[in-house]
Amino acid sequence: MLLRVRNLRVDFQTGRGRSTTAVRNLGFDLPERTTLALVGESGSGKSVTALSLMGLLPQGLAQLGGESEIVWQGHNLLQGGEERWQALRGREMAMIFQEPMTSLNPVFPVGAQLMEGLRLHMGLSRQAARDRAAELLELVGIPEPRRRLDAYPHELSGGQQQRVMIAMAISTHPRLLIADEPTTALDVTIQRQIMELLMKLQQDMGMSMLFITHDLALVSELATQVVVMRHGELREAGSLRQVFDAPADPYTQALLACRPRMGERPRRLPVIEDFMRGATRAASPPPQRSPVSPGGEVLLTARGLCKHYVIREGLWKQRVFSAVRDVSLEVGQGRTLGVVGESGSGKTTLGLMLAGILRPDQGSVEVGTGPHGVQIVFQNPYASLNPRFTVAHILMEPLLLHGVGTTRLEREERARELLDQVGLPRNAMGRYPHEFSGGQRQRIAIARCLALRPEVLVCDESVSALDVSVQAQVLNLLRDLQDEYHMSYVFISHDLAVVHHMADDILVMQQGRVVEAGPADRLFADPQHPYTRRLLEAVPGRR
Amino acid sequence: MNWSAFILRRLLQMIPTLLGVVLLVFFLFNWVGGDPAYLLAGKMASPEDIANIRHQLGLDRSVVYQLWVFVKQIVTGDFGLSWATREPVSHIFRTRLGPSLTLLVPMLVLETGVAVSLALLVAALRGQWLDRTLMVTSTVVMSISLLVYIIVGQYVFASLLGWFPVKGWSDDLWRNLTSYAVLPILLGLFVSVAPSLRLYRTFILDEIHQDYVRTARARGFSERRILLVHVLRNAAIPIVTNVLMGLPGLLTGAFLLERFFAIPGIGREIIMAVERSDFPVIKAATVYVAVATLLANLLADMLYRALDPRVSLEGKQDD
Repeated sequence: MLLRVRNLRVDFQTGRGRSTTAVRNLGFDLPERTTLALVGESGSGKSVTALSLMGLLPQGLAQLGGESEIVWQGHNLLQGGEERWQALRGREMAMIFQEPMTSLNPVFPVGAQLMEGLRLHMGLSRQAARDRAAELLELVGIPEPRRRLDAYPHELSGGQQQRVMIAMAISTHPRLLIADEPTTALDVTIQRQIMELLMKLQQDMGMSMLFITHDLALVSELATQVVVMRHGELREAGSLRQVFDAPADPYTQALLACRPRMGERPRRLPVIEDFMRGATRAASPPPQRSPVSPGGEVLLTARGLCKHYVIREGLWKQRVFSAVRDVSLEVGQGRTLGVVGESGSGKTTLGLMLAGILRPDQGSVEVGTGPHGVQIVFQNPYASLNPRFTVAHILMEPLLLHGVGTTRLEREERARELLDQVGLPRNAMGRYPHEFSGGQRQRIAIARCLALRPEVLVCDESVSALDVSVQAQVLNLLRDLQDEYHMSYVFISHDLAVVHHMADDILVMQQGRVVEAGPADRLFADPQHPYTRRLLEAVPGRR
Repeated sequence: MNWSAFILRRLLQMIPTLLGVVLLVFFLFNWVGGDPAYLLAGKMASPEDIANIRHQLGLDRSVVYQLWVFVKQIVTGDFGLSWATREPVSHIFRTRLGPSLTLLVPMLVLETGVAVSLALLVAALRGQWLDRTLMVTSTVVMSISLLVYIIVGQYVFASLLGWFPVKGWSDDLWRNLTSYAVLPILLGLFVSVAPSLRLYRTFILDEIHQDYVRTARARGFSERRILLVHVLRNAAIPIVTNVLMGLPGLLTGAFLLERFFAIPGIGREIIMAVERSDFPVIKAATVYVAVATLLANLLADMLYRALDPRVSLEGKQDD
């Protein structure tokens, strides 16, 4: 047994002598040459577990429980002192992280960063380390590895940065590689490549891998063992087949069910509460929705939208970068247009132009009626609400600015209605954004958009930052609002499963252009453009 | 884009800024400064005397002509004679620059060295008693005026203990550096290290919490190596920028130190010029400081770009 964890408990000091427990009573085994997936949503304690295995918990803030055992090849690391860990870290056990951009040192070339470990840990000479670094870059699939040694991290793409991180991690032939959400920040096609690289390296080098993720679909592709965590506790552990085919724990069942899946289009997604209360609906699949929402008149029309940015090169020279080129679209009443594409495809720029926040360089946007016809919900509910405003202030501000309601009382009444609409309690009025969870904040952001009774809502990655279980709730809310008020959505997302769940029509964007458009069912069943096919093939968990 | 194009573009961008400074200085002195002829002529002057002086100074010519003269002075560097001492203004600045630099260059170098070393030390020991003690001490030290340090320092170390001369200056650089400049440099350091230390500590702590530090720890590097190689190289970017922003200060000298220690530097000269309403000297000083500030900013920008590979020489243009 390579690694055995028993009774792991981690407490965090939260100030004034108080503390919270991040992980309690956790135990699992990781044999040699095995991939174990640690699955959980935010706050489940999965990353804290990984850091405690590496001995990297923040000193002074985090406290390991007295009965905790982290046994590495028969030796309890918690009794060995720091030297023992220091000898393993970066040599026997290596780790890669979620954000490859910030995880690399920005001011050193990637070659120098690779060589640093090779020289310190493997005792290589400067020249030998440089040769080995080039070999490693080649091994992780970076083209022209010799030339890339001198590149700085920011000169590489996100996928290449993660490849460099992986090269650094495997450079000392570790026996254990801990990968903490290594593909979450990457585009779906890149995610597929990194997953394949990790699986291949794990096989070829005979490593064990601890793969930490929130995405169960990814787990099914590479893990043989699965541990499901929630609120710092283990909910279920077992082999992949066991956990996926016959989950015993209601939370695991919920996680498996509430993620939208390709090939199924239920009207509503099941949510965690359904399962935790009694797990009755798990057996019966939710009813399929009607394939297409009833289409009314066209509410939003865009014709030939273009957006350019000018980049200066040299003293007088300029280069024009086209973020969006010649995009036309129509959205009918009560319908949802899904916009999919990877980073740099121009989908956010398009959303901003549709919402009237960015002025197009060419082309026009026409909205059916009224000046407040289009509103936009952004990705990050933590950054898009003013932290110093109460919820009442946030909801009443657009009313005040646009002269809706004549008295303060009238506007307060409207704000309370909005809270009802998005399923928040009325006593939320006097509270501040930080008092709410991510999902609740996104509800506040949606309520703020609804304040002016828009006909079209642009949702720009609006559920991407949310946990799977919360995502299901917000998606259901958007659905309910659509049913009740016949609103139209432009639903922008990199997540094809989510777009598939929501959209009636799809627009596929690549490098600012629309490469394919059409009804969702047709497009997903029979993609025409090679890029659309590549995107669909990259969606995890399809095999 | 290459360096020469970058520098050329930045130099061209300076022209409108400089024009603004020239116009502002010119009109401030013409309209707000009062009639220099009255100031020069003294209390007992007759109207003829004043008219005479006005003619000598060219004040009876048109505004456009006067502005033209001012611009010519700036371009040639010849600001004429000091009204108070009849010494050529350019000579004043040339001869006073040496003592100012003798005082301020060692001060800047020492301040940066001491502040960065102390900041690294307290950042490594963050939250521990030494860190807290030093931080509280620097706040206290910062809160007391330089005047107090000067007077106490001169009394205790120079007058009572006799370690240093109380004040004075010589023509010998080495003698100045080893005797006359030592006490003012130490007193200046005492005041300037404290705010820099606090600032640099923040720069370093900002870096310590970055993801790449976590990566370095996960790769098994020692805390010492992480701090001195990974963190310091990143923190150097704002530190160097901050030091360079202080460069124009060298030109104006340390007003108080030069004044109290009788060091014939630029700072003391400017104070005297203000006291005597010596317009040519004040005008020249204002323009020189403006030019120096712009050049120092350019230098800071260039070093910033050289130190941080993420910043390209191309500027993205907003639409």
